[in-house]
Amino acid sequence: MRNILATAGSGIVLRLLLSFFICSVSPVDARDVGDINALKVALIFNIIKYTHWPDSALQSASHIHVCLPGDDPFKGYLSGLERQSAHGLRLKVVTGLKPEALANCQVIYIGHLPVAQQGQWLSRRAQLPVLTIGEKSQQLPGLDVWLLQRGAQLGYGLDLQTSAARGLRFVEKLQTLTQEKIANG
Amino acid sequence: MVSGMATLPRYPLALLWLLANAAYAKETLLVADSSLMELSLEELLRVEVSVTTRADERWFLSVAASEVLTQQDIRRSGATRLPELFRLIPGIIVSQQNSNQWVVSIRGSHSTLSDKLLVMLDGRSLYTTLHGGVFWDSQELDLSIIERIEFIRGPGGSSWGVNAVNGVINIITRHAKDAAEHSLRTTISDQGEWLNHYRQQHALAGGHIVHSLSYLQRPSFSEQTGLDAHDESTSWRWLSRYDQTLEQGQLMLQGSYYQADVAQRLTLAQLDPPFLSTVSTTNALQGGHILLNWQQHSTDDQQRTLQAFIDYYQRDNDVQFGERKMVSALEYTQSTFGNQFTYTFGGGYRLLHDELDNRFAVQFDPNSLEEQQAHLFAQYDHWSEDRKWRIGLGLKAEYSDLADVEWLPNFRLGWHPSEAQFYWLSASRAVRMPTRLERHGQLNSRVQPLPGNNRLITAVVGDDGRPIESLLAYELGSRWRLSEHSLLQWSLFHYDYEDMLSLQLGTVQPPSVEQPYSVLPFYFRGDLAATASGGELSIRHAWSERHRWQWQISYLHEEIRHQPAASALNLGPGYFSPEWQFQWQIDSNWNDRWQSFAALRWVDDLQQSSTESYWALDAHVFWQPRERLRIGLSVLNVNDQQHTEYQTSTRAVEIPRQFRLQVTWQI
Repeated sequence: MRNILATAGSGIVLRLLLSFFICSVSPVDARDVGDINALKVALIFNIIKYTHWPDSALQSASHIHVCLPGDDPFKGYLSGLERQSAHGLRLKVVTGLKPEALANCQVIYIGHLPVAQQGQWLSRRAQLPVLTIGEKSQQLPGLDVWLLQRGAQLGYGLDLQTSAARGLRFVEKLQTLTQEKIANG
Repeated sequence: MVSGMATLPRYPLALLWLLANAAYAKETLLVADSSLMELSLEELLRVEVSVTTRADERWFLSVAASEVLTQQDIRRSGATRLPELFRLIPGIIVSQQNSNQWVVSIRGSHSTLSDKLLVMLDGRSLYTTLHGGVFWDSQELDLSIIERIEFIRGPGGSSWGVNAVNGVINIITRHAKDAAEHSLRTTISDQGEWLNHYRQQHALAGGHIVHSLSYLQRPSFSEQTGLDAHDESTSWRWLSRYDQTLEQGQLMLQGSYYQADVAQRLTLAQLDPPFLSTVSTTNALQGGHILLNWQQHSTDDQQRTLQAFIDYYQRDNDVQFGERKMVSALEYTQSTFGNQFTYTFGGGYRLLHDELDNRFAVQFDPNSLEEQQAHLFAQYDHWSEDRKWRIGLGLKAEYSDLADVEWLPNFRLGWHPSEAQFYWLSASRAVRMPTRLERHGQLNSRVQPLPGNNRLITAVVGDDGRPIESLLAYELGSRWRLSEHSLLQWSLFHYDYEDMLSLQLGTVQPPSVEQPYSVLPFYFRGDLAATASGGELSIRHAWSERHRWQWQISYLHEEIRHQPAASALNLGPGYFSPEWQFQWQIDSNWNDRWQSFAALRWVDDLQQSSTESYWALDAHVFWQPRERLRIGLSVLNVNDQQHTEYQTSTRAVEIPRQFRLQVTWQI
């Protein structure tokens, strides 16, 4: 093996590396890709787009509030929703949701909670027109939508019966592309 | 050779770099990728989350040393052909032999007979059973049609079958709908490269179809002696793909055709004086395929896939050999996904038919052969209830006319003690089938005149009864999330090979009716045992959300464990593999218009070869002045006028510095 430094050429590599290093310390704003969490958030956004709330649920709302009890389980990707709009309203993410604030939410995600806590939140939601999203792996009766992983791809399931009883309606497209469906009535 | 280990610590530039950058790492908020937000619901449901992205959860929990290059990685790499992309992955050894030939291997056995790496393209094997390995000069794909490339370091026998010994590279092309309506990309280089790719996509019969047409000219390089290497090539390729989303699944149809003229300088034995001559010749390549893939996702958590294809290629030059080969295959896979388990089983059948044209230099007996192969496999993966333990069992039974039944088992254990750590352990068996050359070939490598118009031909002769090469492999690895923005992966492996390829000197055979001259044969045998051990370490870090780097190092030690005295030559491990490889990559999205990517690599000298170690820095800058226009400037081999990456006993071609300009226009 030849001496590494010698084979690196007459300093050109070092100069280039140094210039990269100097550039690297300047702060720039952010973007990252490539996490299943990003995909889940994008899917939740699409589900929101294709869900209709009863008029009363959106009439006085300033935003579509996407609420989560506890911390954000999507590793920060959820904040990307705040730059999106649906049904003419901007989306707003609320983490650390308190039970008394549930009525102000249009969407609640509870898939990251232990099963017992999910059950409590479903009881609190009762007949409120809050789109309730969970995970297939801990699917509980009462969820409107559950995310599921099918092999290499992400999918979702719909409970038309539960959602319709609270005035929530899914656009036909959402119903067509679902992998699992509990039919209405 | 001085040990690479002894030298690296004396020049720990990369380590200093790592520490310096880590000090400047910022707490940054990850935001949802806007491109994902812009996807339609149908497109989102098609995005694969298995190993599509480097920080993907399923990748993090996969029980193998795997890596993935996504289309985004491919775009920013500035690469124009597959092996240039493979260089970016730790543990992959890539040597450019000349303008159009490459030697690619994983974890050793690196030589022109790199026969332990299986390469798949949309479920079709690119591995040639003629000599083992891949004819890279006939795989000049338009890289923008690739969705992702999965790399599995380590045996993949229980999933992929025979010949997936040291590793697997799985190339998956993009859904037709993902292509722009029209796309034109032209690349020119100061060395005379001229590469053109045109793509057109439109809706058809409820689905989408994309046509891709490529015309490529690659220049000739120079040998170390200063002579022209006569290795230029010209090729064109057509590829079409049709995709339709069904009510509960997908249908994909694919077809391709290509032609290429690939020049080559060969030093060949001949019967007449001067008995050995160097000639310039052209390999005329032609081939194509038709493929049908049908996937069904049922509501009971099952996925079924049926795939059928016919693959044809021919390769001919007037001084070495000619080959025409057809492969027909039918394969079925069914997977069931539960909350804590995945169960997959399937089977397949393949029919291979070849016809070979004998020249004096390379001959086959028989020169036409039909072979049938069939396989059955099952795999089961189970997670414990607390998701801390994962166990996987796999078994594949592979039948061929050549070897009756080969059993390829695999055992994997994963441990996920915390969100930030995952460990895996695996043991598996893999086999490599003897190639056509090893079984039925005769390479006449030297001719000496003898009295009475006789000749003594020194030849390497195939052995139809040679045993099947097998490997027992053990691997231990881990992934650690060092922080929100840093990820470390390491793996250690130990391979035990049995019945590896060797050459055994025979006794001189006098002239006979079939063979009018005396022959000194070296027989292909399989009586070598060897080990290979080593490891890979890579660290990825995003020091801001637009800038990332990756640092990687790999080590490999190959050793002959048993070599009978009668074996004259070892064609097995340790022959041409570098012990150490190091690479540092930096990827920057400066803003919406400017991107850059640079990769600095160091490759140790190739053992038992005169190929010396080298540094190479490749740098790429991309400018997107308009949404549909992208201009890239690349400099390959920035630091060096030229270097040799793979030197054979007869030839050493210099890989020159290259300046490339690439323009991509989309409508």
